[in-house]
Amino acid sequence: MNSFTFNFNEMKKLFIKLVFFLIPLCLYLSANLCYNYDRYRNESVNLGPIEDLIIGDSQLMTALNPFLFKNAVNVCQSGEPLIVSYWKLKKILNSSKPLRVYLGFSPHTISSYNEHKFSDKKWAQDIFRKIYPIQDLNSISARVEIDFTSFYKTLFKQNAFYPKTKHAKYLGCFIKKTSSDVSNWELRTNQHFFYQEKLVGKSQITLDYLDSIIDLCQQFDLSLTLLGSPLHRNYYSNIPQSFLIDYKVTKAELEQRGVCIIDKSDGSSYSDSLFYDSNHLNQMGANRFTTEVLKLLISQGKFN
Amino acid sequence: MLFNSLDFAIFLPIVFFLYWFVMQNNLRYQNALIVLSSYIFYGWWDWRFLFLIIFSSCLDYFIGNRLKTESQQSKRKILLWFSIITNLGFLGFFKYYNFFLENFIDAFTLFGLQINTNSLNIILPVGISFYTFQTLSYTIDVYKHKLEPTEDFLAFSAFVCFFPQLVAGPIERATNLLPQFYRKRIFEYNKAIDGMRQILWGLFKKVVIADNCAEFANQIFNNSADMNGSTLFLGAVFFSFQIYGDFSGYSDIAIGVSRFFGFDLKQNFATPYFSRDIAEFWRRWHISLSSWFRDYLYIPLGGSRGGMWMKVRNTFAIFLVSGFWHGANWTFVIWGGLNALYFLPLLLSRNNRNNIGVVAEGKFLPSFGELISMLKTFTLTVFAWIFFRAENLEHAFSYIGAIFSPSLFSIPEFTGMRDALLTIGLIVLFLVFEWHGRTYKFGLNFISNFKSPVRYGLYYFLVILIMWFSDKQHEFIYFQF
Repeated sequence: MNSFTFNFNEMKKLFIKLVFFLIPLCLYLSANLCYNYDRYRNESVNLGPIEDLIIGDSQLMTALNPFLFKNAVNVCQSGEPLIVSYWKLKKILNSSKPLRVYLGFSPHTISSYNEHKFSDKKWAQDIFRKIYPIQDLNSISARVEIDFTSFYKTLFKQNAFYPKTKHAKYLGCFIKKTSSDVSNWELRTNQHFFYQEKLVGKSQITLDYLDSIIDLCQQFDLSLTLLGSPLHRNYYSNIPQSFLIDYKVTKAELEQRGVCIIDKSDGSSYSDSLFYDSNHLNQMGANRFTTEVLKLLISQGKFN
Repeated sequence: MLFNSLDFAIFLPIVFFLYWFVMQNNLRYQNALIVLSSYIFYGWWDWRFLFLIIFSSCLDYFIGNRLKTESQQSKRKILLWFSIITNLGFLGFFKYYNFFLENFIDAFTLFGLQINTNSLNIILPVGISFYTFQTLSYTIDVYKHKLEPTEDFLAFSAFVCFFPQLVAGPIERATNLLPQFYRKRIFEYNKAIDGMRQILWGLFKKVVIADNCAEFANQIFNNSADMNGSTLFLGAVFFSFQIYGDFSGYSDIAIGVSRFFGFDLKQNFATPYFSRDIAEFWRRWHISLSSWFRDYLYIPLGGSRGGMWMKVRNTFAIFLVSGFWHGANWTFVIWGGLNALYFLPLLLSRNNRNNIGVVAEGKFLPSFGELISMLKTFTLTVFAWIFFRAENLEHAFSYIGAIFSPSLFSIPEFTGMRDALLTIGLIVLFLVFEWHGRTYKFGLNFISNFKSPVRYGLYYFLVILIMWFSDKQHEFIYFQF
């Protein structure tokens, strides 16, 4: 058995060096974190004097052209679940006062695949990157799994490295698509109505958040319209029947409660050339859909 | 446990503290702590396979000691073969059983015979190829009287399972590592700082270079049917840097962590992409495995002593076995064979030892001839890596076929091309560091001579880059081998 003396001075030297190396680094990162936290907590959304606000996911992002409105803004983001739309609307209403709100509402909007967006690696990181300034993850029901490790990593990455002046990545815009290829209908329906190869049902949590959005619009005296943008006939016919029934029942219940719904999701009257892919319209399709929506709203007296 | 994980970031300081502050006065306690912490490190992945390591340690410890006392050559030979067959038997079962079975069935089907056999759902124990070769080298060295067998079981167990290099090397020789477990270890500031620098460099290679390249290499290889020739070539280049950053990064971290505990491991990579020919490349790539095959396969087979035919046979033998060591897939065998083909002209013309020293030593830049030689060697290795990365031979051949098309001269196109440009920029930065550090043991070693502000500026820069890219956590490629 050997015995030997411990070289304390050498160890002390290392620790001092390490501490002196880490202090400036920690100070730098902490300063950025504090600055950015303060910045995004107090950042107001400046959309200007708008009348119409368009919220939803990529379907409405490509389908409703705000430039055909008098004074509208499209803030849709791809892959946005209604939970996020609610947080976003709340944030926007703190500083902007639109008259009307249009919310994307298609069969996949109420699919419970949306609940996995906060835990599945495919979506979580991207969604956290966009929503960290407006999120209220702790308030979501325990039934929704949330990958908090991934969230805090994203939060750190977005805020620790340099001071940012703008954090509003949760605000999207209208995207003009010019090409047309509808061949991905099977891939898309599998993504929207199946999770890990199992058929998913409707998401009660999403419906609860839809209720919250309706309440919020009532509270701020806003006219809310749910919009179902056209889906390619192959996509639409590939939606599982049980899900389609759920969707129609939900729609009927909402209409009974007085919610205005314009549903063009059975896009059989839209030719292939109007689609960007099986569930998104291209620019030509968007112009036609927007015009149709405007005509309907005018006929209903909701729009001048 | 991954080196670039939070688990390891907690594990390492605990072991370090216990090792130097609690067990400081007792070598046996320190070795016991190394064994225990190594078992925890390994068991973190799957504790069931710990029994394989323990069995292997017991077997070779016992055989080593029997070889010492046994004077009859025939019995010594039986003991040696018993160790070789048992160790390779485990490796063969876990790694190659299904491969042989599938090929066996295919061969029968070729002759119109149908046989029904069930393949097993076998989990490959992480690092089995590495520690098997390490224990084998011990027994063979004892058999050849190159090494005295150890009577200290704790030291031997620590040698077999030493956690920094347990799962992905470097494959240590008992002659180098085992004696370090008998000697008292004194904490040295300079050694620890050097270790930290090497860990930093290893993390940079893994997190910033390899993991970024992996994003694009995976995207291109997984969708190769839809990509043009130039994109496919770029995908192969990304994979070349992915595998280099991944594996050499792991080795750097392993060597750096070992230095923390007072151990010196062998250098495993020496800027291989600056090699001027394939022979030089193989002296600089995975040095611990290449030298293992040289000492325990090539030389026993006769090495370069016989005629030309023997040299060719032995060269093919080590390259094919080396390929097969990497995995149970014909793609690895072809990868090994292709490297043997690259090597052959150098061997036949006796030019395989032309480039022994470091390229452009003492010069700031290489000459035009050296640059062309390096580019030629790199291009050859890029093509060989396609076989290494491809799912199967069909994929590899179609990938290469699609590269050699008119679209090779078009602009690469794939999703995320803008991010790929940033990664290419990082690769260039990495190569600049590697070039300046090519005469040192690792890429960042040369900055120890820099003035403090520049040195610290570089450290901060690398730390920030590592933190920035640390969200794309990929497993080390060599874990699967």
